[in-house]
Amino acid sequence: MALLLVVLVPSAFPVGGLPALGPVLNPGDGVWGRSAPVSDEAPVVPGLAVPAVISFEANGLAHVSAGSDDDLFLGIGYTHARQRLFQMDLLRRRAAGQLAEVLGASAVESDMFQLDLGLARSAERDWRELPRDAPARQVLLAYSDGVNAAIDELIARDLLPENFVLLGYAPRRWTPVDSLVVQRMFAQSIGFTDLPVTFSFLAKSLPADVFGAWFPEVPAIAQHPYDKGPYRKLPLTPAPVGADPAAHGADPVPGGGGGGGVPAVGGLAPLRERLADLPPGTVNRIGNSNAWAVSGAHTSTGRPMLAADPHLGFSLPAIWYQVEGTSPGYHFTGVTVPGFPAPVLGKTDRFAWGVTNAQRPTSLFYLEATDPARPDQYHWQGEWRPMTLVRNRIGVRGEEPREHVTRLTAHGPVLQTQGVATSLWWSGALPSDNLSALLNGLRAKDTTAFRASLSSWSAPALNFVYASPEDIGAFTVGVTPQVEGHDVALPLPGDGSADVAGAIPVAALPAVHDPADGVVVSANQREVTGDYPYRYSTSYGFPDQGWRAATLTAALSGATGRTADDMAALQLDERDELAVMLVPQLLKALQGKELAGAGSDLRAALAGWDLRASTGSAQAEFFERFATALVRRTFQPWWDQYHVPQDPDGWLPLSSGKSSPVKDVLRATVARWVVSDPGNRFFSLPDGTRRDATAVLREAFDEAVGQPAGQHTVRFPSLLGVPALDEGPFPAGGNSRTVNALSGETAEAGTAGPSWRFVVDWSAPQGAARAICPCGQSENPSSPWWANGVEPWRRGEYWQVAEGPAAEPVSTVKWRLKPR
Amino acid sequence: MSKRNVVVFAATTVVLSAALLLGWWWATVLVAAFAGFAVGKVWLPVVAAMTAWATAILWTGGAPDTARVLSAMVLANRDLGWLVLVITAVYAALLASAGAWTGATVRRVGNRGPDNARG
Repeated sequence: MALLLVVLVPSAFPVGGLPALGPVLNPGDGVWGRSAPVSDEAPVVPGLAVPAVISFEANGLAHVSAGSDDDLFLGIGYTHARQRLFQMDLLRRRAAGQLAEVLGASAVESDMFQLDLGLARSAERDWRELPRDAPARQVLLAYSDGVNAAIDELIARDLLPENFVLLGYAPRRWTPVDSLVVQRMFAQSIGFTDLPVTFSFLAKSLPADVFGAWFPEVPAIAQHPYDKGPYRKLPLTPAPVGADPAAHGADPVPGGGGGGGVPAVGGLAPLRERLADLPPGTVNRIGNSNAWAVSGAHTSTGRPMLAADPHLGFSLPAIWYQVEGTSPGYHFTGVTVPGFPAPVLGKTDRFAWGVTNAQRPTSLFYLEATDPARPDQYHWQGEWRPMTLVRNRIGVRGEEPREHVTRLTAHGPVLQTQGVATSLWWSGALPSDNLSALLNGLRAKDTTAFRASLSSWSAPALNFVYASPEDIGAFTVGVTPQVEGHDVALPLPGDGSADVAGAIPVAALPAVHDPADGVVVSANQREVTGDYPYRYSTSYGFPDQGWRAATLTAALSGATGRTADDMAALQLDERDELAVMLVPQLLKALQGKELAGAGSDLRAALAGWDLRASTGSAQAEFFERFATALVRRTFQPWWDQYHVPQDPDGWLPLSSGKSSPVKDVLRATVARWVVSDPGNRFFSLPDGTRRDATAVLREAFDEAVGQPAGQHTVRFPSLLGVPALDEGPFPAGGNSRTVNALSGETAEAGTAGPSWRFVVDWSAPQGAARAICPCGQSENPSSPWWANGVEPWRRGEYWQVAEGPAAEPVSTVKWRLKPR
Repeated sequence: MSKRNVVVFAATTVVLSAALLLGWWWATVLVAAFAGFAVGKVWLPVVAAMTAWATAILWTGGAPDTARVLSAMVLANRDLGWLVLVITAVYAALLASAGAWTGATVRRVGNRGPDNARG
């Protein structure tokens, strides 16, 4: 009897963190048999109006061909769910703060943060406000039908991804709100930043003139804005004081007026700590994407070309799912986010586009005036107001549900409640109908209509770079908040004196169309010059200083006879502009210095270096150490002098080996001083000891020589955080300054970079394209389409984009969808 | 092996394979208990049940791939798929043992009769 109990209890019930063994291990509907290869099928799909075909190439690239527009998006939903259902479920759960329900207590912090951020609140509002006759509504419903048809089928055939079985739950029905919440999660991962919090530590520690000298408004190195002006100063477009749907200017508390409020005290350390503990992708930490277009004057064919490679954190499966969609009203190829029906980057028959992150701040942090004697109130516009309280219940796997209260001021959710209450105005919470904008863009007959269709885009702030057979250009989209008299890249007072006054009107946002030099480059550099008449980005408001834009502009300007192969080769370029600036200066500084052993060898090696961060380059590896040492040697004495504090993320200590936007800005600043201001006062020590650039360069060189050599690698982590499912680490080149970018927690361990490389040549009537993702189309680790793009991506190869009839001969598997 | 044992072995294997393909893992205990009662032995139902599990897992296809993925997720090593298969076999044996032992015990107690039971 005892044996019976010992065996049956863990078979039927979860014990000690293990799932119930019976349902998991049984051959029928347990984990076994869920690795069935994708093969020809003819499923009956409820909701489908007429038969549709989904075909797959040998590498897994998908083509959805449907007889109606609704069926197209139903087919895309069906395909997404058949290939990425667990990822989709994780995405919607994570976005909406429902992760702990399936993952347990370890996800509670993430859930609380997401509930505060309010993606679900915003998505529900968007769905409510979407007009009944809006095509986007139909598309979302059709997409949901497709996902749900796949869920039903996977359950019926015992083919749900094994992660569902291991975690012991089945996915609930997909809804349009789920798609909208996934869209906002994507916007969050690339558009929500905490840089104002990080730099607030510095702004508070450093005298204003020192802060301004080290962290200038326009980055210190030469800039290559794509919109060089002239600019127009137009009246601001109205924008709400609070972006979150639950945030509103509450009525004053009766009898609570006057008093003047309590000045903000304390720091933002608790918020920094909170943000540091959240999963990767919660806060944008990567600013590297490239997109460029050249006119026919520069190409061998006389037609424009486009190249784009959005840089994101790598994962298996990746955030992208490449698909060709064909229906009476649409024909496109591009990358979609599983859970969302339309492509974010790609091409139609008439034009192609890429996107990069735009520089301007859209995450505004407000230091609210509060009083311990007045709990849940804040002082705004001269009155005490009650905070709006949203009570949330967080389901926790294996434990009792937790209660979490989200507090909102007029500006938005309070993200820090300890010390000074800090709320967030984030453009990602604004009303959004980005899907309508994208759908209109996909149907646009020309690039003028394409631009017009995207004018209603709210967030994230992006640059769209485009090329058609006739023209090229770039434009930014997204709401750009303006606050009179304040730097929005630092925390703002919440008393009403720094409320959002409006947004830059669309007509005044950076844009360029068919520039005279025939080259458009967007690589996260500041899009405008210092003459731009609105408050825009600062060197410390965005983690990119403009290095890649310099490389691309130099490579493309004036060049002729360029081919698509040249565009692809440029995507792999690893020229390091910081090395271009500093290595000649370093070699000059080392002239006459006695060097022996490793120091002598490294000097000789640097003299012969091609200044590229190539795979295995000892010089590139040494230079990275040297550049870090140069920042430390220059600024550490001042850091100590001004008592710059530590931060939980390790971004502020200059001795830390972690990558950091603070160090990125300081590298640019010190590089400019070395080149054009070698006697800058900050090379000297705070005690008055004189030093110049030469002395500091020598010190940094000696320090770097004495450090052990490392190896730059790239790794593609499993989305589940299961190291044994990672690909890599592999030796890799590139760094955060090279066109072929690579970045990560440390400079050596890259986990982010070009998440999709895409090149389009408009010499063919409908455009000839190639693309590669360092991932696979399937989320199933047993599938041949799991990580099959990694190796070709590492070799710099591409997969040809086959469209229309050309996709037919390369398709190896077909699903012929039949209506019920 | 007697004819009776062969029949019980075959019946156990076939019935349990079919039940397992329906997802009825608990049938392992029940079928093994019946078989244990029928033959009065533990080893035969256990071997038959393990054969049924192996048959059903092979029937579903992709066992080596699944085992590799599971070993990566649970054992943090992609190359320990064989161990996942061993663990599954041991688990199936335990389920069957519990059932078979119960069945065989009931048979033994029944064979003693009320008088014998009184001793």
